[in-house]
Amino acid sequence: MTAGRLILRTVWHYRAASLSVAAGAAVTAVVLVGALTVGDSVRHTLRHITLQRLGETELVLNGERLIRAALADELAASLRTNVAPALMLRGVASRQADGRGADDVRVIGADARFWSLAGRADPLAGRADAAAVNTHLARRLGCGVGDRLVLRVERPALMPREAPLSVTADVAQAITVTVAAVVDDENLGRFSLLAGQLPPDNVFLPLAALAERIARPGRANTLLVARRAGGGPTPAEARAALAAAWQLADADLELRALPQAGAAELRTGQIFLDAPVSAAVRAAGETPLGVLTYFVNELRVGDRAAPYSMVAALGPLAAARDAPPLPPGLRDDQAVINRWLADDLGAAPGDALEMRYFALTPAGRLVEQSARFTVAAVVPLNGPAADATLMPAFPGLAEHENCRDWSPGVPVDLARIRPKDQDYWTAHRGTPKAFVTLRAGQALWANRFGDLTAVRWPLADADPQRLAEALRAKLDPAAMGLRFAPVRQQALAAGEQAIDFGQLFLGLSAFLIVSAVLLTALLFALGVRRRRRQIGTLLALGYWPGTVRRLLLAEGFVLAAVGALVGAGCGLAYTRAVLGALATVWSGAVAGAAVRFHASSASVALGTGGAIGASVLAIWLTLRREARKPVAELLAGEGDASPAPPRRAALLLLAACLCGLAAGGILVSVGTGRTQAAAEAFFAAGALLLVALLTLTGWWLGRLLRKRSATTMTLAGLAAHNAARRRARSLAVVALLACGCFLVVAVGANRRDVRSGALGRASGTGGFSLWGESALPVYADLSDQSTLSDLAPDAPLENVSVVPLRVREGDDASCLNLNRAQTPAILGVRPAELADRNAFTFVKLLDGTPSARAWLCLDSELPDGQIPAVADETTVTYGLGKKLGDTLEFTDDAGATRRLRIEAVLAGSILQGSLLISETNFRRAFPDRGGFRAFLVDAPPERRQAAAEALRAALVDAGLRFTPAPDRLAAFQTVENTYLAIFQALGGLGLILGSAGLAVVVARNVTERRAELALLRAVGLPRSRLVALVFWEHAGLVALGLACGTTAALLAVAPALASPAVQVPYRSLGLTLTGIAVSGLLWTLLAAWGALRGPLLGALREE
Amino acid sequence: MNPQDTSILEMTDVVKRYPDAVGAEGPAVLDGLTLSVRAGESLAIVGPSGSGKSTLLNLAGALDRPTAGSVRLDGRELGQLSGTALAVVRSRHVGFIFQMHHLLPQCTVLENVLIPTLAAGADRSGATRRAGDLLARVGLAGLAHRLPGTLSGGERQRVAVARALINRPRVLLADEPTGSLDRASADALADLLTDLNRADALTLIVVTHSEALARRMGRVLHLSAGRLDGKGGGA
Repeated sequence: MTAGRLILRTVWHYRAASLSVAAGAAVTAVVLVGALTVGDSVRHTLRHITLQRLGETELVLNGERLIRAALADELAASLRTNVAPALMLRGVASRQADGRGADDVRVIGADARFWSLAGRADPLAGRADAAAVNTHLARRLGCGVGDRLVLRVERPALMPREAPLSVTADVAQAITVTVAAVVDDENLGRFSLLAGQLPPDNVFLPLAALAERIARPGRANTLLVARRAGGGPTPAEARAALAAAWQLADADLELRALPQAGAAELRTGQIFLDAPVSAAVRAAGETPLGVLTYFVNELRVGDRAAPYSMVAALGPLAAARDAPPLPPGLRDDQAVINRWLADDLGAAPGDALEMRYFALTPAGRLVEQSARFTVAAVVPLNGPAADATLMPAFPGLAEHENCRDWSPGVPVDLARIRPKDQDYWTAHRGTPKAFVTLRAGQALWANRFGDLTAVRWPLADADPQRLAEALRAKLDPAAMGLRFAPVRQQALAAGEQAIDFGQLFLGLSAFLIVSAVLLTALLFALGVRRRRRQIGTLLALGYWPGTVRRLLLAEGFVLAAVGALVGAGCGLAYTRAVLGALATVWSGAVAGAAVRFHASSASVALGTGGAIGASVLAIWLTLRREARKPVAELLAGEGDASPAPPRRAALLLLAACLCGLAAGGILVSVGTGRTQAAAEAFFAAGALLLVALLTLTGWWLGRLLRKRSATTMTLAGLAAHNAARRRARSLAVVALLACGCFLVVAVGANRRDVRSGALGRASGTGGFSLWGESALPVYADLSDQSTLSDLAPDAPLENVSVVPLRVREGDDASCLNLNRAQTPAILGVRPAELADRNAFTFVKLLDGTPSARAWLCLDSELPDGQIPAVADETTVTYGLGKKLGDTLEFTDDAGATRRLRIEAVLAGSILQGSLLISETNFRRAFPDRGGFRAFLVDAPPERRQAAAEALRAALVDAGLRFTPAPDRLAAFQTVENTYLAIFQALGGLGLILGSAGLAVVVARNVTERRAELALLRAVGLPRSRLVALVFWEHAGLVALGLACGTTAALLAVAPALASPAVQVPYRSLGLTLTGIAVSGLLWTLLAAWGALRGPLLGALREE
Repeated sequence: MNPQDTSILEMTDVVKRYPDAVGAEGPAVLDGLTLSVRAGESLAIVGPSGSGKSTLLNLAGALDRPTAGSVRLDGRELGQLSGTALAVVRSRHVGFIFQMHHLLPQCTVLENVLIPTLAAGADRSGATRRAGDLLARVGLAGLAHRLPGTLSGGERQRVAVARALINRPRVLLADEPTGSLDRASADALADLLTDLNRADALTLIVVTHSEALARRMGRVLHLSAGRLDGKGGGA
């Protein structure tokens, strides 16, 4: 005889009871394994999507500048792997046949090297006018092979469109293509550099064809480096390879020899040489000469003026040198004019020369300014003063022969151009008419895009080739926006750091798990109590109490293990069911992502082990008091019907009062606040009240037992007394039902209808009626009412105002993206626009930030160059995993690592998903990203639709799309509401389990009292009244449980009940509670009827 | 010294009360009881229902503790022992036969007899041999692998006797051992018990309603009002 044999024999002998205990453990395992494998599935899906969208891409170089596509070949050779050039543009697509369109389409120019990242052939090989669309876009447009599409893509500008003198017209390029292939997800159809689970709308064109169509042949803005078989390449390797291979042309720089000027000149297609270049040229070569040539509106002396002329500012950048035609010693307030101008203005040395010009203000607006100089000298129009090459290729000017064709990026009155001006242009083109010192010119015309238009070295002193090498050596490609990012590593990290759906579902299933564990323990305890005499026998035979408990625990372990192993298998089916629900009724929780089933052995093992552990722990807790009772009592089969000693009852009452007082204290201190803290306090008070009510119930049951009245014997009194006899059992049932009701009501009552009250300034919409986004940047400042009037002269935009936002594209950090944002999107906003409107509500502010004008914190100066930022609370907490005061690093357009600091946090808003910084800081960090791509529109509700249509029509090329702000807010809230719905559903399952436990308790109670019930039958009570007795005894417990749980829950959700923003689902809650009550009563009735079937009177003869 | 001259059980001024329905101490079931049993003696305790006979036996067998007074078994003061120590006493020094035998229905006859050896940590093979011998002694050699549910009342009680003896106790306590048996079975069981007392010098204390059984004991004591009236008796 061994202990193991005894355990196995016991398990088999009492196999019905054993099966029920194992079933309880099985349910626990189903839920645990199910929850963990849901997490596995989501993680696996995100990883799968990541690998689908990137193919074999390891590193990416992607920026605003256009590099030589040939650079890919050079890098491929040194990195010994495939490097694919690509042109990635944003655009709008529409089907030519019916105009069915899609805004915000990714237009990707790619060649065979790109497609080899997915191991497939180029579907567009040899077809310059063809395109491939991904399955998502094909479905959206209803298009297939052979259909014609019209694409509008942003034509990359030669110079930043917001730079002075830049042209903002012709932003979009229309391209008509024929669909030659539909590309599925496995073949890079969902290619994207942004982390997200939703497929983008992609159109693929041949790289060369696309580059030609946007007038940038041989260019690309992206390099995709494939992973090597043995690992890598690393960003450091790529950086080194790039440093060796890149050329000035990749940074849009050109070094040319100007024999006539006797100079080698460095210039850029972007017109203004940016800061890294300015710094590099100072260290490369000798005696560089800085040139800043500007287009001025007017040069005036007295009452005579010459319109629209070039003025050049010249000066040494390093060692002092001559800067002809400037005479040595020219002061900054002096100017040199050429003979033509002198004659035109009748000017002579000593005269006051006034210049009028357009300059870019810090706010990004062009304003006309003037400067005064004294004419220091008049130079002949020859030699260094007759150098037309000093004028950069200003777009809208340089390419036109006739001044009447000018269309520069500043307002010009072409009527002012005189025939002599045309003659000058014809003969001398952009030859400057006046010259000032470089210092003077930079003071007037330097802007965030640069303070030089060219640098020159004497040709005699500088070999262009050597100079180019020296410049390359001094320039950091990263500072020019040429840097590789470990996109694969980042993307996989985004998936790994995503919301752990395993833990989420564990939390949502917590009550279900607790119910199953409690039921397991309850069933086991009932089985043990049934064998009390056996326990007494073992003790009488000399077993130590601890030994007996260990035997029972081992028995419990065996049952839990068997049940958990079976449950683990069923758990995988449960996972599939949950995934099915996530694809349908619960799709809001995963923002529409299609989650694939995947189960890791670790999760199955952990879930199984957890179920065993939880079940065994619960069983152990119920066994602690077993084998401690007197042996004689156990041998006699005595139950636990003894009342609690008076001292313990008094302690229970005291505990109940204390909990109640604590709940009251919390309520008094919080008052009627509507803040999140108040809501949490109410919840805590409700939970305390629940504990108080349950403790009071325990005390009351004990009191029932003590204060029996012998004078009146009624069925109701008997039922109440019977319920009190098995106090622990009864209390367990009440507690289970009460906790379930509490959670279901408290959580369900917090479902939000954000549309209610959503147009107020303090609401999540900020009072705005529309949220707009554009595929292409809009360069018109829509915050200017005159601009709106010009766009829609027929006045549909009356009483409409717009707050435009600049966008640095990045990962969506909202609750709609399952991935953890690695490089979140950044929006640039004018803080005063939001502060003046007092838009949105801040839930957290750093100390010292006044809440009344909290938006203005975006303009504050922070130490160490940090940039203040504001974000939505969901973005901060869940999207980024940060909190108020934390910092985030990002890389600006100059390749420098900067830090944002979270200064304030918004309550749930339509701004979720991005970080907001001031427009000023945005332009400094991202000067290459011009225009606005997001819009907050203020419009009266009745004009909302018309305003959206008018703006779309006026800016059709930009691909504007508008969403009613309440709808956008509701979309975010859908995620939270779905989680609540899942919690309610799983909690409801837990309650059903609790009801089943109630049925078991009923059956057990009846079985234990068969002799007693038989006696009642014997003295004449009909069977129906016995059933009623048992029914009402347990129905009372159901009612107690519902009453305790609901009462406490109502207190917990009092703020929600009073809030207009919360749509309490009274109907569904009522149905749920009714269902719980009906289920409990039905189980009770069935169990009572079932247990009392058969002949009872025979029990009188049994001992 | 003659072992029979040594007291194996000494109960002095023993009082036992049980808590009432409200948890307060109830009336005394045993009220100042004093008893001395010599080693190897056979003793019957008789009395009306509710007189405390089973309570006395439970105290003697270390199944319960007195409210007051002293119980010494084989020289050990049971009131001073911990729960674990009492279990050791029950395992190694006392054999108990219950009125309802309390066999484990899920174990065979042989396994039921061996149950106490797990508590005592006995050598397995030796214990199995001894169990077989005991079953033979009680006349159940061929029923070792039967389940209790298939045995008659008398057979079950004899299994209980074998179980009580497996650890070679010095004292055998029997609480109404023939209470649920027919006449023939009761007689057979009585023969067995007296034989054990005589042949093995096993101290035997029997609580019984049966006068026939009581008469076969060496001494009969009457228990009433919580105290014993001693009367002599001989086999």
